[in-house]
Amino acid sequence: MTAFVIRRILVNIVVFILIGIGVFLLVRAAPGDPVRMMIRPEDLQEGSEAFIQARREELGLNDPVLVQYGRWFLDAITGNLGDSFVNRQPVSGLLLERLGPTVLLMSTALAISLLIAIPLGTVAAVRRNTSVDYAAAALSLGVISVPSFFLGIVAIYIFSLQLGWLPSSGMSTPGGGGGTDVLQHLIMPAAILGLASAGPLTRYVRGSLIDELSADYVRTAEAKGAAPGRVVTRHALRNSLIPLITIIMINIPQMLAGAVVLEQVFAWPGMGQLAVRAVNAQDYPVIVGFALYVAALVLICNLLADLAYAAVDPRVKVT
Amino acid sequence: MAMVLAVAACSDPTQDDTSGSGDDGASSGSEDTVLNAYLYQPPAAVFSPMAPASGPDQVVMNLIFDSLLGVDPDYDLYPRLAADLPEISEDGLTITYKIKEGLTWSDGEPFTSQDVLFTYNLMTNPDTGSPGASKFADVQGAAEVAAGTAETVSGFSAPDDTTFVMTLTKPNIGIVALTGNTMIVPEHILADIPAADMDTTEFFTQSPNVGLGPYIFQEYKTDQHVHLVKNPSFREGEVEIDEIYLRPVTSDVATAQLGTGEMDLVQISPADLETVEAMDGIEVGSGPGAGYIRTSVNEKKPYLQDVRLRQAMLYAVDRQQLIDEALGGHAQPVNTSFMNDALPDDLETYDYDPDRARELLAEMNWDPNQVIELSWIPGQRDRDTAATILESQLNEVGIKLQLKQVQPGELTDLMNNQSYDMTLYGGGNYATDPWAVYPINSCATWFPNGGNLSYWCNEEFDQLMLEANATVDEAARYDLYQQAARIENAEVPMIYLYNPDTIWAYTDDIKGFVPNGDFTNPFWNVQEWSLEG
Repeated sequence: MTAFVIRRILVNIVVFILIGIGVFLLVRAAPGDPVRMMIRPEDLQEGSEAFIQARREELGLNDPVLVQYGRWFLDAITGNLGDSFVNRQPVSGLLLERLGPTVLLMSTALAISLLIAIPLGTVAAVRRNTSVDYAAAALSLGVISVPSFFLGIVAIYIFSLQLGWLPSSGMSTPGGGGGTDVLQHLIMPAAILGLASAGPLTRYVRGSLIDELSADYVRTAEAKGAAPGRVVTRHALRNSLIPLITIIMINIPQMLAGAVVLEQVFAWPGMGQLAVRAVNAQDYPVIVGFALYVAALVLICNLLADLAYAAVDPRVKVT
Repeated sequence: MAMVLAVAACSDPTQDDTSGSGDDGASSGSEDTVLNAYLYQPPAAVFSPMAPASGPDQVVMNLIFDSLLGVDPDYDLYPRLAADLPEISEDGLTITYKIKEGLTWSDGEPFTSQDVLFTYNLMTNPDTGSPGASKFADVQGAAEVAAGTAETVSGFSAPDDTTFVMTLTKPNIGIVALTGNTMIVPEHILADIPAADMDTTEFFTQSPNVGLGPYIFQEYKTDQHVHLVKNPSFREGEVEIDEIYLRPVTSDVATAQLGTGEMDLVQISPADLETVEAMDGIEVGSGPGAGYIRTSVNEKKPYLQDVRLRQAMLYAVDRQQLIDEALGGHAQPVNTSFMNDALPDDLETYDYDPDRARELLAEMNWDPNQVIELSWIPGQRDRDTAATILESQLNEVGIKLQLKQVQPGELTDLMNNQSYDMTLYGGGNYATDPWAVYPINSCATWFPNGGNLSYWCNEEFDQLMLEANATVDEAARYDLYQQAARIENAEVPMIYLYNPDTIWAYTDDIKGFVPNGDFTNPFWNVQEWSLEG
């Protein structure tokens, strides 16, 4: 087990470094020039060109790209991801500052999606091909089909504008704050993000549980006279959740993509907003930093999925 | 959806009282008046006059700092920290500012011309990372500082506490408008910080909490809001409204929040006018812009050099229709870069006349198979509409225009390689001082040495502009600018489209609001505002 973990971590580190190289080269291969974009063409003066050249030199953009990478890599292994071109602040600080809100949003959304998907999927599996099952299927397909940004705008219209129940954006009321306040701001974006991933999850729970319900051990349990509800929850559902762990772990990075969009709609102060702005300004260090953060998330989630699988299911041996 | 409803119903519906009555409990006294205003994107959080221009940061700086001169909604200069507009010597070489007496910084330290001297020296010093240093190129000694052979600019001086003098190497009247609005920063806070560290110093990136503006910086809560409280030592006395929150949200959300009372002041697009006008208790006001939307026509391309082609393009496009359709009528037609007093009243107005366009094209033997590409960054509704109207109406008279949507970076590359045919863009301020037209039109300021993206060159025009900017007498100066405007109007270096208004929607609880066309400065007269609850 330990050997497996160490081997996987080492492989992941190599993959991580390769991703770093790829992203670093790709953002620099994109057209445009981050320094030139600091001055709008209609604001250019005689002498602006001298500023642009001086700033390019200062940021090391005139060096060959591999030299730039080497310099960045040596800093990066000490935890220094460089400074934003736009506001000269350390990238790691900019990311960390926004990590909390994003994690809060995503973990709440994940909890909501499980709270919806597991009961709904179970009911749909047990009462399959009944109206309950069809309603669950319709609901899942519905939330999969409607883009979350649209749901977000509709929700703002209904719950903020028409009903006045919930604040329409941000993470806290200016001047306010506190747990209840943040919770009120959190409800809409987290619920919508949660709904979006609850759709597919419900289908997985249903499918997985249907497989288990037709297994021999379920028939055995029933034959022994166990209560039907107990057979489903204690025997079949537990086993059916094992493949779900993988699905959830793979789902987390996808959820992050959804969060990037919803953070824009709800002005949620997370990483998504930072990433979008960095891309628009061609702020290379921030783009690379964000990409590495996503890469790390994906790799860690995959690793955790494997480990959790082994921990939950004694039949799985990792070597 | 049922889930959302259920969860929402459990929460405490207290959102009705965030309307700016300041009644949100946690902060100071309940009598405080609080204004919530929309910020169109989060600030870069470098609140420094030396930082590259950033609109949202400028909104904040306009509230926490102050400048010698300001620009009012008519785009006229007016004195702020200065006692009056500066005195310009007869030879145009000496510009003297008198500064209001007895002013103090928000921390109680006296404000003197030494602070101005300090700030202007920082602005010209390339080590501070200031892209604006080139504005001061005509000041005596600025070249030495730029070259690194001098520490301070010999042409700046502060002979006494209320006088600041700029000495120039050649007359440059336009420098007053170009530099008079520089935000003055406190020497007593920043004196010990090396110039090279100025762009990352904590004062500018974390807590610019000492200023001369009507408000004092309290906090920037990342991507959520900038919190400001009133400055008791503001030069015009304490303002009425106690606190301001500037909140970056999307424009859809901002408009919605105007309806819920979460937002008091929002800049809106013409498309939202109808929604906003239907809201109770919401006023709408607009101010004319100072720049304009245009397409440059790259004269480096042999097939784009004939002036008749550019004239034909202007005649072929129904610009009034464009203004009505894309901007709900909230824009001014443009026929030259010059505005206000520099705008002659006898210009060709290029009214929609497709037959005239066809005539001009026939006269110059325009090849109807020649394809012209128009590159622009999509995403702004009015510009996108403008591009499609250009496409259809130019094709109608026999100019094959193809649209090409590009990313900002791609456009930069197209400009660098001079490979575009036409590009659609806009902005600038040509209303305060006509000298601002020089960098976008002169032979000496072809991109990248300036903003001349048409590579147009007319020596007579340049001569008039240079002479005007060196003429101290105002009437004579504007006469020269008008002559230059006539040349520009006839030669059409770019396809003038329209000058969009800036539209504000605000709760009618705000009294004293005067809509400004400069969207970074809605608070220009905030000392005259009050907020009723």
